[in-house]
Amino acid sequence: MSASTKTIEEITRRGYEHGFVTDIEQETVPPGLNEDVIRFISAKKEEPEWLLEWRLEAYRHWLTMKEPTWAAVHYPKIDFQAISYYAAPKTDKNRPKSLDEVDPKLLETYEKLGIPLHEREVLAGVAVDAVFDSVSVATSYKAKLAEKGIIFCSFSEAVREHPELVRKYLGTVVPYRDNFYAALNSAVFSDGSFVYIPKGVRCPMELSTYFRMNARNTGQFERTLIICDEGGYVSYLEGCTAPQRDENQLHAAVVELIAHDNAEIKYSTVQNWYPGDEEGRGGIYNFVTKRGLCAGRKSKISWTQVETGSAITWKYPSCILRGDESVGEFYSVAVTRDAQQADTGTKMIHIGKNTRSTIVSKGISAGRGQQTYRGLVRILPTADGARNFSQCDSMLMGDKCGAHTVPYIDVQNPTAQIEHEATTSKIGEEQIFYCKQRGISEEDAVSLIVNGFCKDVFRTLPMEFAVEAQKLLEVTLENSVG
Amino acid sequence: MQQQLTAQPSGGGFVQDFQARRKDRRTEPVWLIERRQAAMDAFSARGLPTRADEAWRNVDLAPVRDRHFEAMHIAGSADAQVAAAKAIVPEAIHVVSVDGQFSASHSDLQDLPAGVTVRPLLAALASHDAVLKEHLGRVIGEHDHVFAHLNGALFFDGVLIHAARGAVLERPIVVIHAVSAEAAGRAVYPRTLIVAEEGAQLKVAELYVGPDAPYLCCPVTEIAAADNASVHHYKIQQEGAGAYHFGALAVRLARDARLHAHAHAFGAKAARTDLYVDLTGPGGEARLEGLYLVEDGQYSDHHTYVRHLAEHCTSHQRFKGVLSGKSEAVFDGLVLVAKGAQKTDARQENRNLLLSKRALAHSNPRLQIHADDVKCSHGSSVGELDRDALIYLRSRGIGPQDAQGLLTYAFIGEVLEPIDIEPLKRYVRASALARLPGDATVKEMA
Repeated sequence: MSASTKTIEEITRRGYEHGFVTDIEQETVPPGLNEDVIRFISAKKEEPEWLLEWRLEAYRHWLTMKEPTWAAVHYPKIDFQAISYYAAPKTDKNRPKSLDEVDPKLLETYEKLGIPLHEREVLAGVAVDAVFDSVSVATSYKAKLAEKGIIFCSFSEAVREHPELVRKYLGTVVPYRDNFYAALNSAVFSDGSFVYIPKGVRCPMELSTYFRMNARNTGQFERTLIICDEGGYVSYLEGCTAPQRDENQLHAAVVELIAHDNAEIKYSTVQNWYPGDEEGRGGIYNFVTKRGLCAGRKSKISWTQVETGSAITWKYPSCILRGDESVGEFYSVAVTRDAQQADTGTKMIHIGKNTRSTIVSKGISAGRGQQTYRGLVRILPTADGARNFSQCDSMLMGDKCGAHTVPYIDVQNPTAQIEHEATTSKIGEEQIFYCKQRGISEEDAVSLIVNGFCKDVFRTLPMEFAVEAQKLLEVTLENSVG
Repeated sequence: MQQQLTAQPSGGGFVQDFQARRKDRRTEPVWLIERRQAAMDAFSARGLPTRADEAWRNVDLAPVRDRHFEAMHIAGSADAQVAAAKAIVPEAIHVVSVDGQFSASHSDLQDLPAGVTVRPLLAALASHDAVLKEHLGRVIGEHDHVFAHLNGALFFDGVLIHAARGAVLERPIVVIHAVSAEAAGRAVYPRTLIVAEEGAQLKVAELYVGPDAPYLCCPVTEIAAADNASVHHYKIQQEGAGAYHFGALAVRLARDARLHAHAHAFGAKAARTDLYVDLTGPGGEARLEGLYLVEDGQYSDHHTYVRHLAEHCTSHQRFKGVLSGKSEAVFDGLVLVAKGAQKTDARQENRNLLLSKRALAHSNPRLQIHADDVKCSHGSSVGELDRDALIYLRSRGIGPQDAQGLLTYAFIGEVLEPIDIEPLKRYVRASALARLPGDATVKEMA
């Protein structure tokens, strides 16, 4: 046990590798939130009247709401008037037409993050719609996607180019009344991604957006909307890193997925935002509302997340299984160390007949990390033959961390079958010993064991993402055994 | 006006009940007066919970909020009920409380074995029994349970069971908490304190019976088990069809102490029992077994809070429920492993069987773990009877009802088996079978 103490210290003292700030001129509004700010954002983005109205309604509703306190996370009260609600790179006015026109400093940033955009185009065939703060600055493979009738663009662009689609679906899965942060997001959302897969089209590549917060003091309010029409398929990747900074940053995104008959949406996230220093100072607050609606028969929505960053993570990617025989899946690996706190899980609402859902959640707590799995499985009386299986495992490293499991199971239909299992245990000292005995270093042994523990989840990630996730976990955890 | 009303905590009637008893409390020791006041303050600070309170979100407390159930002062008579209840375990030591007050005439305390004392709380208070000051209200202690607060403020009498150091009690003690017909529309606050000193061993069964008219029963039972003591406890809730039963059982286990608690809920319109178990010394062991059978119009609720506060403790929880008609049942179990409570072994299991389309089952098995060298697991399932098994039985000429009854009996058998008072096991089994589908043949086969 003591052999590893030194290495733990080394790792925990190691700075955040992805911490750097790129100096680019930003156009921001002064901190604070009122109707004028919302009008400013809306005007800046040249939005139609109905969207401004919707934002204002959301804002007025938000004013009547209280900050939720039920999650098992602790943080100083957020001053919503101290946040600046709009920041866009100056380059916005003359958007680059190709990569060559992209600000070299931006490219440099991606370079540091290990996302060589042009390389990816060739090697991985991934179209990257990179969000640099609030406005999308580079989009690739658009033409190729357009051929198939797929719309993949920034949210602002979708509002301009496809207002009918945005208007039809915006807020249908996560209405602005849903919760405090969803209301706030609806009022001030800056930008995000929009995807539309037409009938019968199978998206030929993984769609990906790299979010990166870069303006000091700017909360990010992403809004993502993915619609998959009948028989369509799309796999969407979301990955994040953020530069090191001192003040807490609020991130309150909303993601809405809609799957029609026989459609399938796969949504994968690797989240590695700045977790703060050893005391948790300066880390990102990640308060996200993600929800998918399986609207059609035999539709499928699958969430996979790897959460290693953020000071506080508070997200519950959920599925509403409305269509008969629709399927919802949730695979999650969450890691907390130092003073990180994570309260995450999922909701599976079974409405349609013979709907199925699977929940696999793997939590790893190290140092003083606190982690909660909080989930709900609800079977409504209409959901004949519904089936759910949940597995929530926690692994503890060190005697100061905590792992909590809070599943809610509400069943109103006798033909449903619900199973929930959870275990909590320590990383096996014997397993480590066994590996060491065979010449595997302690670091590698831990990595091996942790990867085995998380295998069920990594399996569901697209290949390059799985590699990235595995590496991330290694960096975050190696040497945390004690 | 409406605004002001909602802003005020509800349950003002209970505060009045408390004030009305001021005179009776004058003779009570100072420590008790203080503890009562603290309980009343804890209640009146928030009033009755609403559905916005997480722990009470599934309970419909409107019947208690809309109409006040005034506390019973003078016990009524419940001779017939008591006589019937006594026949369940004839050889037991019977202790009877009617409407929350100790009934010496119904109790048979003649030949208690050496080292075992059973007394009315009032008598123990009058003689300044030191055990009371040490334990009464202290085991339930800081646990925040609104009806336990009410009991703490409003109980008048109760039962004290004390087993001295090393005392081993072979005969079971059966405490019958009867509610009289006169208590219709009123509230009763039965209070029981069970103290097992070092190395003592005893079995206590508490049986709750009452009339079918609406009444409110808020019992609190505290069990303090010292080092190496062993307590078997049974709570059998057979309240009348209109009853509201909101109670708590709090247990504190010292080093190497053992608890085997059984909670069997059959009766009442709405019933909830909160079980608090604190494992405060190393080597403690707690087993909690629960069974709830709810029929049309019934609501049953069990909350467990098992706190591992010391190393090397074990806790096993197993709760099974059968829901039929338009009924609702809740199991909300918490295992908390405190910092430093290493080598903990905690298991939790909840299984629900839905026999009807209109039944609603909630299952929230929760883990809160602050130590790393632990083995904790929980499992939960909700579903209907195995269709293949049903078809198998039916293909052998067993009717659908009987097959259902038989399989349901098999499902609950697991929690009946550990009951180690034979006549009590027969009684619980009969109570369960009476609520299962199927005819006499099933009952015979089972």
